[in-house]
Order: sequence, then structure tokens, then C-alpha cells
Amino acid sequence: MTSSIFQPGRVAARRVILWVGLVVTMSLLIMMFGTLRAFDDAIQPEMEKRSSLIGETVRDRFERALEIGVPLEAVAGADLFFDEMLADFGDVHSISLLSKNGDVVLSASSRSKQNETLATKIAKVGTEERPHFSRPILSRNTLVGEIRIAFDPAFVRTRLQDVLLDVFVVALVSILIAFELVVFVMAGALAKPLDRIFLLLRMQSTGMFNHVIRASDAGNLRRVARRISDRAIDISERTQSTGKLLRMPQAYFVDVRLALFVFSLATEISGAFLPLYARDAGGPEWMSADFAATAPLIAYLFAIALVAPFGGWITRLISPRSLFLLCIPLTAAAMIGVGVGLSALWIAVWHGAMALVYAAATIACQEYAIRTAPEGEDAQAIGSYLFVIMGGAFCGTAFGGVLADRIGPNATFFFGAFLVIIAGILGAVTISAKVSARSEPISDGTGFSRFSGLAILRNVRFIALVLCVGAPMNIGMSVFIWYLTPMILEAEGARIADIGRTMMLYYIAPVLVGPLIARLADGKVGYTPMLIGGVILSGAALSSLALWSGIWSMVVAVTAFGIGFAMCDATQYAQAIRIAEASKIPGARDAGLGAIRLGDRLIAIVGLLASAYLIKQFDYVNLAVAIGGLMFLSATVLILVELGRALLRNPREKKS
Amino acid sequence: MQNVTKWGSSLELIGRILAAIAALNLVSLAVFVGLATLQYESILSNLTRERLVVLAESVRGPFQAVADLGVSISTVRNADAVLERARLSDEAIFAIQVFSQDGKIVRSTALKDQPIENREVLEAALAAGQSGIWHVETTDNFLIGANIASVTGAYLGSVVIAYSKHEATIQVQAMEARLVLLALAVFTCSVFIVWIILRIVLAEHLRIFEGILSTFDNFERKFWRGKGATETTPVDVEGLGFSTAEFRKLIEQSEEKYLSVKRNKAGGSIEAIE
Repeated sequence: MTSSIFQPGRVAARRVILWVGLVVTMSLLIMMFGTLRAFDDAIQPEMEKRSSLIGETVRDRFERALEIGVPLEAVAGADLFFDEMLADFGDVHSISLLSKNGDVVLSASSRSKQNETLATKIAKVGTEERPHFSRPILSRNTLVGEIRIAFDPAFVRTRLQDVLLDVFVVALVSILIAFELVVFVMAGALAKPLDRIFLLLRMQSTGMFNHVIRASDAGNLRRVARRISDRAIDISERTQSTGKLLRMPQAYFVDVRLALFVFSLATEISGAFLPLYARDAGGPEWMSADFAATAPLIAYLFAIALVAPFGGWITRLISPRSLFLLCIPLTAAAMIGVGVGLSALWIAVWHGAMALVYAAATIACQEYAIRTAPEGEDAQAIGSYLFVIMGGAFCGTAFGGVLADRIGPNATFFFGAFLVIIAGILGAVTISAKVSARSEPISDGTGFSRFSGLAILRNVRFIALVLCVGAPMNIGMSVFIWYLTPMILEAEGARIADIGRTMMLYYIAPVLVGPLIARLADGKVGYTPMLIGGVILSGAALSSLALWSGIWSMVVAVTAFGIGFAMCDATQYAQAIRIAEASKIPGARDAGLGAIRLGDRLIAIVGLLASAYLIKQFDYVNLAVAIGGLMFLSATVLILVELGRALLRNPREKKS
Repeated sequence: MQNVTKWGSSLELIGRILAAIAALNLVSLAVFVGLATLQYESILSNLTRERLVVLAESVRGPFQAVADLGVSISTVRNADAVLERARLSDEAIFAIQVFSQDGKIVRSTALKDQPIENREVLEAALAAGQSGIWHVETTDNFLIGANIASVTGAYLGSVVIAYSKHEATIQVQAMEARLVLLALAVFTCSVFIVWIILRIVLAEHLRIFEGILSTFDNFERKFWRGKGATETTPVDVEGLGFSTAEFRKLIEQSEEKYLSVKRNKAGGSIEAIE
């Protein structure tokens, strides 16, 4: 019962979320449709004024020529004049000069393909035929011709494309937040009360009458809670030990979900523009622009790598709740420091400081997830924790991009700091102070076994896993996603909001396809083929940039890399555990996982440092293609190692 | 009575989720209205600016023609009529002026009590260079200027159109009100639809919850009816990993344990309290 206690909450959230997503999307689409109609109507008087002005300007020009005796057909430079008008007024589709018989003397039309934009394809509103406007041309009160101007009905709609993209970001972010909210509310109203009641009943069945459930903790089951808690109160009153009654000390991972989500969102708010922001802030003379752009990312990874080995030690010293709450003001202060943005160096220092506390705060949440996980559900607990972190990061990157485009990067950091404080308030209210510590695994308890576990580092398959999967994928993440993507997109002329929208695809891929990949990796496909597939897909994504360019190529490459990364991320840990267990070295599991975590960070740092140096020889796109090449090479080596192992094992098996 | 409780408990669970989703939908709709209004403001001001630029260029035409002949721009024939005709093309244009390179007003449609702020305008005009187009935004107005250049390319003066922002502000506010109204309508419909969806989707959850409550009611009924009353066996509900049969077993077992601890206490023993 305990192991499946959160099943109802999760099932409900999954069932509800699809419908909620649909309703939120539908209501935003209806708004979009209504807005387009409203825009079309409201812009009409302005369009009429423009038509009238254009018509009169053109007519005056021709009438002046007619006054001095030039015939309508021979007005010099009329075609150039028409082209100028078309350039000045984007909404004019064509200008025609007609003779009094209605024959076209001269005509010019806009060559822009505004009709084919996204907004016009999705929302076709209003009349599709082009509205016309005409003005007569008179010479000494005699009609000699006519000016006819045709307007592009899609003009206003094309200007709405930006809003449309932002709306989709808002919808996606809303749906993810809705998921977290539904999980939170369902847990509070259903899962937690049920768990508490069942647990208290079990304790009482064995004769333990020293716990009570507060009515407010029991949701709709408060009648039951009052009744069964009263047994403990009665017993304690009879034994005169009222003070000793304990409130049900149940803590759940769901307590930390919402706070962690908002925290992750806030700290990733600069995902779309940090390298650009640091580069533009400028640094000391010895710091090149490319190094300035990568410096905050290097500081970030370095700080995380620094904290990672001490994670377990920190959580033994201080409770997860206290650690998380302690990190809140420090993270907010560091984000304000980045937002002040004195120079690239200071941005790197503050961003590194933020990463230190960010790492500590997320370790607190991970520890909370592990300690509250039912026995044997560690993987699911870490999976849920990663889902929340990635979901938050996705929302932060997308939302930060849109926000920075409107209020500027500095103010976005300040808003991020504000969100960190909101996360702290949420955490203070929801995270349980008392969470029981889990006992250490017996086999790994001694210093000897921990030391002996390092023997896994000599295992060829393990080395191949770290070098052929961890290394290329983390270089891809740190160099391609964090550094090259904003740079390449900016060079393509994308705005910060567009960069944010593209980068969010990397984060949304694991959220959407992660559960499916995990099922396939555990089931039909297997770990090794999944890893090889992930590295090859990522390699193909990055190498493809050599063949095509533009914003869409980056959209495809980032999405494909996101899927490739999702194929390798959790699978890599699962494979490490399998290799460690197969090696039968005591303590190999923990040593292996620790080595992968630290190795991944260090490789990402080395990758960034190398790219800041190599960027002088290659340009951004070539560097991305080179990383793609490295991925193909890694996949080949991994295939050879696994094939070699299979060949070596088969003769042995045959002999035995 | 029991039905009222069930109704109440299901309302509470659905109500909480509905409140969370409704709040979120409200926020996303509000963000949408905000973004759309900003975009409308930007579209409208761009359209107006483009139109005023063309108007300024057409007003500049006669002055530029005179300048090309090397004659002073103050000598343009019918200059006042040219300016006045352009001003009448839009009610929101409250003045059109022509000033020379030293900032002196050569021609103006403005009344004496409606001067255009000159210092900022002159700075912008000089920064735009010969034949440049420039614009300055003040708190109330939107100023669009077109520079006039001499044959040698030297700056001679500018035509400036002062456009009142008042009308544009009203238009933006009207759009905002219209979008807010639309958003409220969409919001109300979506809340109703989500409420129906929740009632259908959470039916299984509510069934289990209500099953536990009715099992509890049955358990309690035994106390007030006392011995000899007909015992009703409730229908067991199972789903989502829960069963009311287990709940009934546990609550009865724990009650027996409670009674036995109490009896021991009455007998002077408290050994059962661990």
C-alpha cells in the first residue's frame, strides 16, 4: 500500500493534465482568433487614413505633371515612385495607374510573401480578397485616369506572429505549472490523508498509540482522523502523558515539488541569453569576447562540480528543509549580482556563486526525494526529481527569453530573484522539517569497500561509457546548447525571445519523450542500443548544420539533440549500475555513479574552455559540426567495445 | 445526509483542483491580454509613424523644391495652405511647423499657445543629417520630422508634424477593454468545461474516497445503534491500489487493540503503550 500511495495522485494528474492542457490551449486559441478579429476591426480607421494619404500623394504627383502638359502615359519615374510607396507601406500589395478607359498604364506590386507566414496559415480571419481603394485623376476638371491601390489583408495578422509564438510558450508553461499544481493539490486532498490514516491505523493495530493526525492534515478524511486520533489522546490522558503525543511525521516528495519547480524555473531564467549578456557586458582587457561569453557557464559548471562530492556530507549536517531555505536568500542575492552585470568577470563570479547555492539547494531536494521515497522506488523518486528540474528549466528558459525581450536582461534577473524568494516561501510552507534519514547500504558502509569500489575505473566498458557517452553528450550540452546555440541564432538575426523558444526545445524533449525512452530502455530496446542511438542521433543533428543553415536548421538540431540527450541521460546511469553490478566489485555502484557525475561536469568544463580557445580557428557552426563528428566517432568506439565484449563472451560461454 | 456529505467532499476536492487550474488559466489569459495589447500598441504606432513619415515627406516637397533652386524656404508660395491641408488630413495632428537651421519657426499651423518643444526637436533634426527623417516622443505628443537640404547638401531646416498621443491611447485602452471582456468570457466557459471534465476524470478517485467514508460511517453506526442492530455490510470498493476492505479490517483491528489497551489501563497496566 505504501509503495503505491502516490499512484492516485499521479494517475489523477496525468488524466487531468491532458484535458487541462487542451482547455488552456483551446481558450488561448479562441483568444487568438478573437484578438485577430478585434485587431482587424480596430485598425480599420488607420488603414483608411493610410489609403487616403497614399491615394492623394500619388494623385497629386500625377496631377502636377498633367498641369504642365505631360501626358499620363509619359510621366517620368512613375515606376520608381510606385516602388518607393510599396517600400514605405508594407500593407500595400499593389498600386496601379489606369487610363480613363480602365486600361492598366502602369502597375507595381509587392513581392513579399506575407501571405504564407505561420499566423496567416493558422488563423484565417476576415475577407480573403484584397480590399481596393481608388482615386480619380483629374486634369482641368476632366477625368483622365484612376489610381487603384490594393491592400494586403494579411498584413496585420503577420504582425501578430510574434504574439502567437509567445502564446504557445505561455500555453506550454501553463500546462507544466498546471501539472505541478494538480499533483500538489491531489496529494494534499487525497494521497497524503489516505497515507496518514492507513499508517496511523497500522500503528494502532500493533498497539502504538502515541501519534495523532491533525484535522487540517487529513483533508476530507478529517472525521476519520479525529476519531482515530482521539484514541491516542484518550490513552495518553489516562496515562497522564499528554505532552508526548506526536503529530504524524509523514514527509513526501510531493511537498518539495512545487518549490523545486519554481526554484528551477527562476535559476534557469537566463538560459536563453546568458552568453550574450556576459559578452555584451564586456570584461577586462585580457578576456576575449568569446571567453567572456563562456565564463559564466564555466563558473557555473565548476561550482556544481565543486559541491557535488560534498552533497552527502552536507545533508548529514543539516536537514534538507533548512538547507533549501538557507540557499534561498543566497541564490536571490547572487541573481541580483548577475543582474547588476558590472562586467563579464563579475557576472561569472556571481553566476558561479549562484551555482554553488543552486547545487546545495537541489542536493537538499534530491535528498528529500530519496529519503521520502518508499523502499525500492529510488529510481522513480530520482526520475520525478529530474522531471521537476527539467520542467522548471524548460519553463525558465522559455519564459526568460520572452521576458528579456520585453523588460531587458537585467530586470529579468531581478524577476528571477523574486521568483527564488517565492520558491522559498512555498518551501517554508510545504516542506516538512522532519524527514527520517535513510540507513546507508550495508555493503558500502566501510572505508575499505568505498576505496575498493574505485576499481570500476579500470573496467573497459565503464571507461568506454564515460568517454563515448558522457563526454560527447556533456560537451554537446555545455558547448552546443548553452554557448553555441545563442551565438549561432544571434548571428542568424534571431531575437532573444526566439533564442529562448529554440532552446526550450532542448528542455522540453526529455519532459515529453523521457518516460517513453525509459520504458523502451528498460524493455525492448535495451541500454546499449539506446545509448548508441542517442549519440548517433545527436551527432547527426549537429553535423547536419554543415548542410543547411538558418533558424529552422537550429530548431531541428536543438530538438534532435534534446531527444538524443534524453536517450542517453538516465540510460547512462542505469548502464553504469549494470556494469558495476556485473563487475562484482564491492562498492563499485556508488563509486561508478560518483565518477560519472563528477566526470560529466569536468568534461563539460574542459569542453567549454577548449571551445573558447578553438572558436578563433573555427566559427560557431563549424565547431558545432566538429562536435557532431566527435559524437559519431564516440558511437563507433562504443559499438566496437560492445562488439568486442560480445565476441569475447561468446567463446567463453561456448567453452563453459 | 450521507449524500450531502458525499456531495460536499467531492465538491471540496474538485473545487480545490478547479481553483488551481482556474487561477492558472486566468494568469495565462491575463498574460495573453497584456502581450496582445502591447503588440496592438506597437502595430498602431508603427502604422501611424509610417503614415506621418509619408505626410511629412509630401509636405516637405514644395519646400525642398524651393531649396533646390537656391531660394530661401520661407518664400514658398501657398505654404500655409500646404501645411493646413496636411493638418486637416487627421484630427490628431495638432500642428505642422517648418523651422530653419537656427531653430526659428518659418511657417506654422500652431496657435501661439501650442508651441512644439524646440530644443529637443532641433537636436533630433541635426542628428538625422541632411534629408533625414526623425521622430521624437514627448509625454503627450509624437513628433515626426523631415529635413530640408540645400543644393550643396547643407541642412536648411525641417518640417515637423506634431501628433497627439491622446487618440492612440484611447484606441489602445478600447482594445484592452475588448480583450479583457473576451478573456472573461473565455475564462468563464473554460472553468465550466474544466469542472465537467474533473467530475468525469476524478470519478474513480471520488468513488474510493466516498467508499472509505461510508465504511467509516458503518463502523461508527455500530456504536450508536449498540448490540442487536441489523448489521449492513457495505459494498467494498477497489481501485488505484486502495481497497475499503483493508480499511475496514484495519479500523476494526485497531479498535480492538485500543479497547484492550484501555482495559489494561483500567487494570493498572500501561505496558501496551510503546
